[in-house]
Amino acid sequence: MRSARDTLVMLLAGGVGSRLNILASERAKPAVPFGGAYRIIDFTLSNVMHSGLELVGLLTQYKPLSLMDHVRGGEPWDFIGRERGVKILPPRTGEAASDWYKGTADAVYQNLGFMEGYRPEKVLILSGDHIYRMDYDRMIAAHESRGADLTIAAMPVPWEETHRFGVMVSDAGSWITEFQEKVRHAKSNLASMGVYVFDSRTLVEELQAVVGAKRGFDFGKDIIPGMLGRRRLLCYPFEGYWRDVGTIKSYHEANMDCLTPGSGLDLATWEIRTAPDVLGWGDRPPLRLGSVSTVANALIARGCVIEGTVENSVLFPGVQVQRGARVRNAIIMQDTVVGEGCEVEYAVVDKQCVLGSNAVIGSGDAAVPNRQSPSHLDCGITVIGKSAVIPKGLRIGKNCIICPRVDLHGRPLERVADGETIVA
Amino acid sequence: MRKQIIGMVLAGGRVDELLVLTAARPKSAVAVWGMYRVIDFVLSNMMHAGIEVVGVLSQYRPYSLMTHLATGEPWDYVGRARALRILSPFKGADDSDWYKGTADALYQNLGFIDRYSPDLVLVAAGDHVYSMDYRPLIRQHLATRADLTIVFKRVPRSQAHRYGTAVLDDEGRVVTYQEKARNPAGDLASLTVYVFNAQVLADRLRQNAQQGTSYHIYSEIIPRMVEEKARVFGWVFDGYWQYARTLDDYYATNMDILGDSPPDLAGWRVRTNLASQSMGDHPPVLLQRGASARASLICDGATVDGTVEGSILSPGVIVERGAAVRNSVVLHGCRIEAGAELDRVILDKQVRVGPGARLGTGDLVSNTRYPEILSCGVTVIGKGSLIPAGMRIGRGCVVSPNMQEADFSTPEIPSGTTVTL
Repeated sequence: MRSARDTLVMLLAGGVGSRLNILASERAKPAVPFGGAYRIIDFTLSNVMHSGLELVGLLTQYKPLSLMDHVRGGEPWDFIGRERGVKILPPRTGEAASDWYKGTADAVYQNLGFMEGYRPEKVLILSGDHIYRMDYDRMIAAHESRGADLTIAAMPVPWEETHRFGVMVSDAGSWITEFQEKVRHAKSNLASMGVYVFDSRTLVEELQAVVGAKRGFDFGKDIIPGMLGRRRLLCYPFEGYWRDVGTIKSYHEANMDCLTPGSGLDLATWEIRTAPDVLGWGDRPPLRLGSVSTVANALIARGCVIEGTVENSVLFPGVQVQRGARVRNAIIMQDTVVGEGCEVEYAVVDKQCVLGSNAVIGSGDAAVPNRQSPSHLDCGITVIGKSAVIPKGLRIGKNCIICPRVDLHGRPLERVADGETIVA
Repeated sequence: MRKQIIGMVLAGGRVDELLVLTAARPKSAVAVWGMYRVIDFVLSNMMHAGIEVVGVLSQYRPYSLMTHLATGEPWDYVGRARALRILSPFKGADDSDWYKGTADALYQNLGFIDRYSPDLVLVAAGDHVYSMDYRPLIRQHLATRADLTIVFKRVPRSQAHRYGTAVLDDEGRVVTYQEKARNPAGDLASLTVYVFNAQVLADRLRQNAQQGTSYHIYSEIIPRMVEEKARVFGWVFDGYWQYARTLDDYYATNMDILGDSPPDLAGWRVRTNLASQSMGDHPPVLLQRGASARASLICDGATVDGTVEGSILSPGVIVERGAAVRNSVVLHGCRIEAGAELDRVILDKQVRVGPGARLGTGDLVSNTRYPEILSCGVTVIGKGSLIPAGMRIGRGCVVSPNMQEADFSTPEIPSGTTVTL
């Protein structure tokens, strides 16, 4: 166990998640549902719990409501007690330094007052955007034994993805010699996981010098590069499953990893906690399979009723797949109804949608990217926003986006072509 | 603190008819429909009716029940004016002792009831499976100025002898009440749900404590009240209701949820304790590439790579590749290993069925030792037993808890056999 006096956790959960498009348009990225029963932030909070840390400051900003409902005071992760808990730290006015958080470092800087109240020796800074299982205690122990000012967790990523990450070069002793934030031609494929252990005096000094002087607001862009050569920056290599599910494609793939033995993402052994009582997820009855159902290679949550076919898919609580419907390679969220004879393929369908009978979703040419957001959606997946209503028989192509609450009943459409976006 | 009504749940009794399933837990703590315990139904009903204080009378091996009820949070019994309390037998200045019956259990807890000075006390069994809105019942009780209102359900004449039965007059007043009579006059069966005027209940309990012989509500207090022309009324319920008295009943009740017109579990809004046995922490059901599953109810944390048909799998059950589970009830944490086959089997928690074992083969026969309790050809395996690889077990068998490989002397157990340690 590490008390707040030893190591305080600051969890950055304000992210906009714009590349997740409509999945994150009404909720913060850490609150995006994942794996049939979880939200993305559950993975980080469960890691904090299993690592024996006791106090978390949760920095929120973008559409925090579903996140706050979910996390509450941290009870689902046993952060209960006089010195244990999750404290929500939203942006606020009324203090000289307070304002909207302008970056990751600014968010921590604006909460120095909160941190000082606990006088921590070290501060563990995390983001709530990633799917992984990690023991932070070992990382903190390495930070202590090596006498680092800052320790950054890192893992190798494919070279073609390095532009999405901060990457580092380290010497034989694992001391970091170079750090590049999201550059086109990276010198290394060792990516920062956004997991930092700071000596707290170092953190305060660096934040005051950089953010306080309004010279920069971000850890990856401003704080870390500025510390090179002056401070002892340790690279802590992580081996294991870790995914930034910041794009529709990576989100879909990581969900599918839940199904694949040997993928490294093993929900059966990771002991991820969630808040099943929020929204009454936990009170749903068990999964019911009808007399003609066919299900294989699927992760299906409680409250679902399956009377059709489900393959290679992840279903959240309360999804109905009616007779003759076929759901393949799809992620379908809470309480969506897949009508009789409906076919859904390579799709992410948000919660409470109604897919009419014999509608066909995700059939077409994957090579046509979404016209409005080609950089978000060119992997062949169609995304349907929350509470959308798809009339019976409608055909929707690939790389389509149907915005939240769109009801297509009133619209004289025969089909939605590949790459189309339908807005409200 | 004053409450208009409080609830008292009768959850204590030891019942032999469920054999190995109740070896270490009271009947109210037996698992049903995968993720529930029987007591969840009455507690959810109390919660939905807005009853803010509930006492649970518990005596027989209460540990699993106490863990399950925790401090009442699963049913929102949280707050200064809300309470769910387990009322165990206690020693006091007077003559307190083990509960001798339902009436005695209530009598010994009159002090608990008095704390809340209620007008009404709703007394209900903790071992029945049903969803009932108690509010119309309470309204009728008040409107008729009854001393006691008993909930009845019409049952087939052939079954009436199993219950306390009554005949009502046109106003709904109970004119005759017979407890488990061979040829009862009525076909309205008591569901062991009673609304008492609190003062009447206290008076009758005191009277029964001095003059009673069996100390049960159904066998002494009700017949006497009817005989003495107290205002005893009936309220007829026509929804789903089951009482797992025997293993045959228990199996049939479980299978009801897989029927063509099953109880609407989602509509019932049954609450259970998600923290006990980490039920809330299981991942969703994982159906792997070898899975073929239909007509079943499967709980979170189950992993299926074989065939599951017409069965109920509780949380954390593993069905390995090539294994087949048919028409069976498999409780928490069981593992059915590769190629094993089950047909009409109840596995209590944490049973391991070794590779290639076959349970439930041959003609449907009754258990030889307990034919009245287990006649439907179902085989029952006690908690934590390990069935060796390749073992053959017939139908209508009972295997005691915690059997290890060496405890089985033969590779085959014929139908109807009871195997004990």
